[in-house]
Amino acid sequence: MALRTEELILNMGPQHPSTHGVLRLIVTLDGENIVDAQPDIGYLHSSVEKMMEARTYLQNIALVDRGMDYLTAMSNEEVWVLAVERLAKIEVPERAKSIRTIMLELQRISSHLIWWGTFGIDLGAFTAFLWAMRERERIMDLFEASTGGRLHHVYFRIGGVNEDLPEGWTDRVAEFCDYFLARLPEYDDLITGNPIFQARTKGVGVLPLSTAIAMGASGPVARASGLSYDVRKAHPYEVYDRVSFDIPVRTAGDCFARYEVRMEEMRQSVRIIRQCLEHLPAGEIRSKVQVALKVPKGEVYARTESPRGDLGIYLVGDGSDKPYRVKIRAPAFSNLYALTEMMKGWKVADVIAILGSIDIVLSDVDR
Amino acid sequence: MSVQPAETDGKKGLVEQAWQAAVGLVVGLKSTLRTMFEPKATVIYPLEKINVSNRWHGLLALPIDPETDNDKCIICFQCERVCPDRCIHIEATGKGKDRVLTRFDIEMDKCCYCGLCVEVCPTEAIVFVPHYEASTYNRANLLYDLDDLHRAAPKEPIATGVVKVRRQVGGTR
Repeated sequence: MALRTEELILNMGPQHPSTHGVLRLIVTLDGENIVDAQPDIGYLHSSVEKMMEARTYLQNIALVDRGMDYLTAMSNEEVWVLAVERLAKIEVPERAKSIRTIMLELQRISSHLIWWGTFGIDLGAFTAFLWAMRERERIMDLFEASTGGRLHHVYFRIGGVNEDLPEGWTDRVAEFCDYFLARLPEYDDLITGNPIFQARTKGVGVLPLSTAIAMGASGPVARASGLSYDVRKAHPYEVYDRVSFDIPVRTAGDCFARYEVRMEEMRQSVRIIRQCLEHLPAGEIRSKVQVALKVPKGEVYARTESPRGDLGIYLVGDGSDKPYRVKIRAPAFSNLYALTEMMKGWKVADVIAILGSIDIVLSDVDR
Repeated sequence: MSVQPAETDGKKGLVEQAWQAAVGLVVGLKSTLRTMFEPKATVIYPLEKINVSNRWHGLLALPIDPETDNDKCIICFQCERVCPDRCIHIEATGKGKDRVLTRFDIEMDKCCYCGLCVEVCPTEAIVFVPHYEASTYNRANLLYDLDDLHRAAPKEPIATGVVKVRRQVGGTR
């Protein structure tokens, strides 16, 4: 007598602790094997794009800060001010450009640290989270000293940054760079070299290059699949065309490759910060821009490399002090698209490993 | 559909895997053990408090200017206009030199601590206070009126001062 089996539909989330927010995964299971996994999003939808139409260009800096990816507030500010500056043709002083680059790279490290810690928790290593938070706390302190905020800074302004760096801040950043580079080998000891970790990530959740491109994956997810594309190199903004750094690329496309890419990115970020600190020009930090800035009619698309990938803003101005239309291209949203392809054929225990490896923030997915 | 990794065959693979896992565990534990003897990174919060930076986006206040014994607000409505959350409400009466503030309310529950009001203020009348404990049991306490904002000003030393909010009505908690 043949055993009668049927597929089981399992709802993971939206309150599952390992779905990194409020993501609902509708997983179709055949025994323990995943037949299909469909992400159901929208639980954190806050209609940021619409809200931006009712706020002036300056006020929107405060909105993109928290309305989009809340772990990388300054990356959001960057793409917004970049779009407005390009449309209104506003020059940014050199010092402000360097300060912005330092902030963005610190933000990248802090975001990757959160990912590293939560990825560890997802796979059962609790120490990783505590360590990551310890290092991140130092970055938060640096942010607090210069911008006044820890998560939501509202530091970038159209045409520069809000305040100049406080005294001794650059030394503290340099100190942090040394401290952080000394810590990274410990991370490798704890997690990277761990055979249990490797067994759970190596070869798991492979995303082939062609699928990654077809699904619009970007950032570390695409680079782990062998796509050598980084907005900082392809379409340089701020001072990225003047600093030397490498884009880590892996071809395996599995969870471990994505892990390796992010670990290497943190090292490269330290490299960028050090170069910026060395060549930090003196002078103005902000060009004169009126509070109720009126942006001329027209449209522009600005793209930046946020820690999660290719973050873009399409901005349509209608000559008034408020944007006519804003469209945000969120990297986490596109990366989540590729999730279904990564999940198929794996066991239910791998769901969390694969989901953790793409590093989504639901606030960025839903916007 | 992606391909599953080949199952490690036989008992030998299992033993080897277990050995590797044990070695990995020891290496990892060595790192954690080293951290155990380092100074503590945590602060026992209500007993110990961390000083915030002087740029801290904390509570808002209208500091009293000792020269005039009043705040420096010139009633230009710039902060009210720039506020993204529209949480500042200002009213004034009189003309010219007799112009006085009759209402300066900040709904701190709506405030997003962006600091745009502090930035646009031409006289530095509205400032941030390096203070972060504003939670109350009653939402009405978070409507700061002119008196509250005057008292919240850094006239009192921050280290000992708890920002006074509006008195509780009828002892509700």
